Amino acid sequence: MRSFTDGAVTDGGVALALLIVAALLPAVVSTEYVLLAASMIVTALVAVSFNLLFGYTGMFSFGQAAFYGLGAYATVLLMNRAGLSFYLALGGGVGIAVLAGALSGVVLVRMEPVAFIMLTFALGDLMQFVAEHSPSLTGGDDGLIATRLPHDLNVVVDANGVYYPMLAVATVVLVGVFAFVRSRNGLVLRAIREDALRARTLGVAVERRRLGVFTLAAGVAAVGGGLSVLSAQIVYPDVFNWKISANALIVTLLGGVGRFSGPLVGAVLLGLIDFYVGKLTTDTLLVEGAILLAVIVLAPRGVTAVRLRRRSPQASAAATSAAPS
Amino acid sequence: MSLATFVGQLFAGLSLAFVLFFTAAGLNLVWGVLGVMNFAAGSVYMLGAYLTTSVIARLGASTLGWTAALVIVPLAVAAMGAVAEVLLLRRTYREEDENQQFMLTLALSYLIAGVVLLVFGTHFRTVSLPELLSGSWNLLGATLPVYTLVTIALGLLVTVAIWVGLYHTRAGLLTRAAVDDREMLSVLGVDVNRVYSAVFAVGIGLGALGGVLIAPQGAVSANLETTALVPAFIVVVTGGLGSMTGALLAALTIGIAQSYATLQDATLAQLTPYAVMSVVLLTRAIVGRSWVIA
Repeated sequence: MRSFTDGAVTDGGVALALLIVAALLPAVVSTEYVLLAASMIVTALVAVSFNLLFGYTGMFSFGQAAFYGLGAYATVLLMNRAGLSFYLALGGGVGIAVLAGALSGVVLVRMEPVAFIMLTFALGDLMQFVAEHSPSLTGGDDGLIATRLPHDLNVVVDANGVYYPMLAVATVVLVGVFAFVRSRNGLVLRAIREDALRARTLGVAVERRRLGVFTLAAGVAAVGGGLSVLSAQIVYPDVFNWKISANALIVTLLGGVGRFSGPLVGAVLLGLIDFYVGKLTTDTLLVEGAILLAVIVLAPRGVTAVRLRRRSPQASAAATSAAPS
Repeated sequence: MSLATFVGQLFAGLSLAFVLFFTAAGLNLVWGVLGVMNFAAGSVYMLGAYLTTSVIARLGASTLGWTAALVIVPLAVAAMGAVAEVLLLRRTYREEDENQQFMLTLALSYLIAGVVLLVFGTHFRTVSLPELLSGSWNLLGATLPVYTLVTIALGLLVTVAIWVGLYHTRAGLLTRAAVDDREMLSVLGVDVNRVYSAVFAVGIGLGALGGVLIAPQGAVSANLETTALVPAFIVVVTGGLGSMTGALLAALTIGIAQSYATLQDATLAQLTPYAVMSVVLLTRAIVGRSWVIA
């Protein structure tokens, strides 16, 4: 039990430290890096959404891009067509994604694990197809420009004016997710991950919980998508591409699966790697494949776990012996 | 619909179905025996198509070139699959977490896509058919491209080979035994590791074969990865995970339905796999066999 609490404090501490650094960043670095940090915020939110499903509940979703993209498109459409302000549009977009998550989740969460992977993957692909082939709604392959962003939310005019709102919204979401996974709900989800049958026997409504977390994760990914509109100002069908879902997996794995700070640390690391590698070559696939391979083989529990294990061997030993045999 | 159109679309659908079945059968085989959902199945399909363009570029778009591509490419990719199995997957079977293996195949797909990008660049490629395969035959008023017929014939051949291989050979017996009880097979003195390597190689090779067959039917580009993977996933889920018969039926239904749907609306026809799957899964749910697919 002690190791659990220790882990919780460090886990939240790492997340808090990252947020503080993120808040101070614009005072120290140039606009180029502020924009990099903005992209990390978006990546982190999608990864947090993936981690809620995979890390905490054991549901391997390969379709978070579906909700990320839906959040992005809905936000722009609500601004352009309904004339809503950015924040109202973001709220509406997230609401639409949550609804879509709940509806698709009703079917998906009942699937056998492998079918769940395949069908969440197919969901993102289906959304991309729809976005590409509905030009009157989405602008098709030309994309959809956010034409009604106000002057003070224009990234070209003022990067910080976009960065801070993104960070603020992300912080609110992260605090909410942190409270959620640290509550009894989080424990129930982990019980489902460890042994769904045992959880069911103990009276947990497994299917309902899975649907709940799938819906929540859809909302979190959609916030990422909605915020991406601020830095990109345009949405393409590629927001539904499976690479975004895979990226959330790589980021989470890199940082540490099932730890709150994991996706955040991973988003920063992969963001930096991609940024510097991108200056050398356009073939980032090889690099990302190599990173994924290295993490799976060398540090399957992510970099945050590597550091912690070295610091307190007793704690990890206690955790091992406490695990059900 | 005239009889000619009916026959024409039927054959087009059959050739589509067999190419679909190759990737789906590879997925099923690897899933059934190794317990690994092979995400790289789409990548080897793309790799097969790209390697075909290389072989044809060397040997020319002759009958010889195409025969060589049909033989060499699947074998070469299968050999790569065996190497990947030995180097990467083998060390993970004892782990309880089957997600680790899935993620390894995801890493593999990134590496394959990365190498393809490095070697072939971002421009799409096309290959042409030899004279022998580029003509067409007439049947009941329908004009059937020879290549479509060859694809169907090969599809039938490979399908029969899969069944004979699985149910009437010693290798197939060992494969099915590995599905049922790996440890017992090992105790009986069979080198299970070799069975696993062989099955993974065959599964990968099947995907590459699909890639060879699709190469002359359009542009060979990195997009092939997903255009193969998504329908193959849908075929596998619709047919029931691990069921070869189910996958064959699902591939045939989807391929033929899509071919006829193309007549109405070529764009919407691409949604056929989703439509067929929804109908099958809903029926399964309503009939009460539960929609948990096991």
